[in-house]
Amino acid sequence: MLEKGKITARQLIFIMLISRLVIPTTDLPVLTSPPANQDVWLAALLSPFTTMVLAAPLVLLAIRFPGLTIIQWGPLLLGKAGVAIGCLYVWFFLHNAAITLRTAAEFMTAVPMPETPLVVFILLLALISAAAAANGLEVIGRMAELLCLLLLAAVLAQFVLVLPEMEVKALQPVLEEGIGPVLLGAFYVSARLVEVLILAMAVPYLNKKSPKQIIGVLAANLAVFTVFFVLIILAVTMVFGAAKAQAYSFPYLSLSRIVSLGDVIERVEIIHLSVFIMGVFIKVAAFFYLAVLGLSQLMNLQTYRPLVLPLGALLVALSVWLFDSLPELTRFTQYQVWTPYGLLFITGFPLLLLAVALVRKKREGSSSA
Amino acid sequence: MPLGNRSSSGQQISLDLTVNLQRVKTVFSQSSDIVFREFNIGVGQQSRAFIVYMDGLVDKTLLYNCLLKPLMYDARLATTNPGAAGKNTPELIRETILAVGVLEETADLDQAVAAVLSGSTALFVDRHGAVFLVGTRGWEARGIEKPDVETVVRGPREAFTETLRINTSMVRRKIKNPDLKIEAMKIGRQTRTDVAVVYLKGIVNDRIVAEVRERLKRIDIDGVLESGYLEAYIEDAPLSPFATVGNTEKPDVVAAKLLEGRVAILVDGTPFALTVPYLFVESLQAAEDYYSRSIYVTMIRWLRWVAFFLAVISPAIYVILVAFHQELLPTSLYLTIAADREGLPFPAVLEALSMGIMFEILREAGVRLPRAVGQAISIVGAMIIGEMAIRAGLIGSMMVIIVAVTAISGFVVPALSDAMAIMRLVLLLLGGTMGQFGLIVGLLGFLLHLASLRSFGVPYLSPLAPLTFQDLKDVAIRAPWWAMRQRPRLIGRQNPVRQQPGQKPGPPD
Repeated sequence: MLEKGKITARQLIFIMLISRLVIPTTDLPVLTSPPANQDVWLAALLSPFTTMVLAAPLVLLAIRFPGLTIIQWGPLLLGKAGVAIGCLYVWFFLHNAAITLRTAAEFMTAVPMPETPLVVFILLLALISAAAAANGLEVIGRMAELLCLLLLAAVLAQFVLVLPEMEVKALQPVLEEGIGPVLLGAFYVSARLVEVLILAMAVPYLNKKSPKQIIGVLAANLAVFTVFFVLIILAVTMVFGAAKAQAYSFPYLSLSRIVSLGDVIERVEIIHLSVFIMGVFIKVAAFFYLAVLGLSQLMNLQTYRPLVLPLGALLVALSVWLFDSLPELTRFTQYQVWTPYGLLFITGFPLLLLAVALVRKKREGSSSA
Repeated sequence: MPLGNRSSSGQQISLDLTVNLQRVKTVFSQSSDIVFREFNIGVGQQSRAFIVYMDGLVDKTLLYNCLLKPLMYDARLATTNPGAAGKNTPELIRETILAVGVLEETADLDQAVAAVLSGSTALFVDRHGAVFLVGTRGWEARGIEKPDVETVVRGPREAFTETLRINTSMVRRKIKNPDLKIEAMKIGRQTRTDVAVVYLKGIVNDRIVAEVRERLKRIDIDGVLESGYLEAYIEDAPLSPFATVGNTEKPDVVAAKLLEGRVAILVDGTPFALTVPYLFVESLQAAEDYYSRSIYVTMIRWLRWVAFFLAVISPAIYVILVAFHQELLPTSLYLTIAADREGLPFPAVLEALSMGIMFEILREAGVRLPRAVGQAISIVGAMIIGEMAIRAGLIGSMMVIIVAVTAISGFVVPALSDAMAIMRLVLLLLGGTMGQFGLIVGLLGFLLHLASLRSFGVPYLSPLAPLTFQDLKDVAIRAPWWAMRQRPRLIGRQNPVRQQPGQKPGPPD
């Protein structure tokens, strides 16, 4: 058994929550996706429904094969071609982790410590995330349990603290361009749903694997995430106005700079920074762990330990090499580029695998095709 | 088991008394505190016998009155008694003459020697192939006194002593239940130290007890002088600054932990008992939490958490605020600090480091100083050195305040003081070099380490992570006693219900 640990549903929800909330608290790419105006929050509000649809093939596959991870479905259903799909998923996990690391490093370089080279941040964060991943899923789950509540509390606190600066006028006119772009926006938001892949990889290690649990995890995650996501978007839009918010590289950070409470609580971006680093840590640890686990499953190893160092080095190298600057990074994560890329892994491959599974009538535990 | 490095003689007791005497004398040669006493049993030289005992380890009154006197005087009553016809001497000794509680027989010389070394008396009878081992333990021991380290305002003031039997009796007095099992072991080749594993059968998780037994049996060392030796051999994470085995010197603490389903290990020769499994949150609990009023104790518990964090991150936060992120301070405060630090030769990190080291030196010195001058010198040392250092312009007064806050907060949670010292140092170094990013990474690193620890199978951070709401009633707050209806989930799983519901007191109807 590669991974002996077990996590509870709640820990899985927390891991997924943190992973999804990290990016919005930095560069909030959703602001520039349709409808790209003050109705973005509506798009976010409607996104859970499109998300459920897009995630359906994955969830159905997870229910069908609760004892296997997503990497193992490929070889099981498609043989050699499946191994190739598995490799693509490993790459996707690593890529996600690298992008998150780079975003975090850019974030740190932009504001608090501009003179430190990027590599230092990337190296330190990668080190600690790799250490967490080497300790296994259980440890990541436990840390997520502790840190997630902190993150949510911080988001809530910041929302409350900027209430005085908010203007409802900035949200008007509502539905300026009609419902069409909003729905399209909801679709684009849900295309960023990479954390459902965490669910897919972690299902074998849940301590209760019934279909109700799996769907329940996804539903709970979506519910809580949507609430906080909408809160973040609302805060940013109402304080800055839609156009200005799009111009910031880090809208949420700029928000924490606005906070000023009676001359004592000022410049609380440090708090935001700290909480953000914790979130990045969990997300990178989770995705890095998935990559290591996946690769060791593809290679049929007994333990994933020997892969941690090499993949870790690769992760650091990727973070540094992939993008030359922050605008390039932002451009990649915009909806035009990210949507097809992400959807391929979230919906595309699972759809293919599901079709194969249905056609060949394979189920968990069935012996021959 | 072989006795130390000597090859075991493996000898049996011979039937010839002089041979036995010679053998025992050889074993105990050159020891001036061993006593041999030869005598006759009964009147008229019916049987010769001799006893061997260790002067200083035996209760001489018991020995003379209940062993020697009956054998020398009263034996004739037994032998001339008509009912004694047909019984031989050893049988009579065993059944009628020796008026003692603990009586064993063995034919193995090594076992007899071991028993004599533990305070028993060995009785060799002529023409009898076994030796009687009489329990005559009694030695000078420190009486039961107030605890040295864990003082309380309200609650029992007894502490364990260095004698195992007294300690086990103190635990017995707390829990008068036949299910309280006390298993004995001897550990250590040279010292043969008595160790007792104590648990409440029916409440404890049997797998933990089995694991404890297993780990103790694996120990093969020369000597066990303190429970800390055992702790080092049985703990889950030997290289971690955090202890996964708890210790205490109070019997009521041990009894409370036994009632929750834990296992206690008592070691002869030390008043500190070990308890397993030990979780992080236990370091922030104290015995008298349970004897005082719950609302007040809840507040104190939160205070302990605050003190813990203060003690660990204060120096780092000060350095970060002063050297990296000045914008976080309100302007007037920053101006004060800047004025205070005007003209100081050293960067903040170095200042903090050196003050930290000075403080640790003072603390250690305070422990070792003779009692009479100890108090005075620590006060003098701390105040005068601090004052003079400020006067000389070496450190700023803010730094002294920070160090004082750190030190005093550290004393609120004594169980974690070793871990806190390490954490403080690491976080200070990280914060001093990388600013707030370094501090966060350091904190995450320690959190990661804590999250990956287990103590005898139980995750170290439970009930915080994995989050068990039900157990938080003793961590986040201290629920009143009538609300603590269940035992901690992961430890007391076998017998989860502690008390019946509906016991909240109220005025009569």
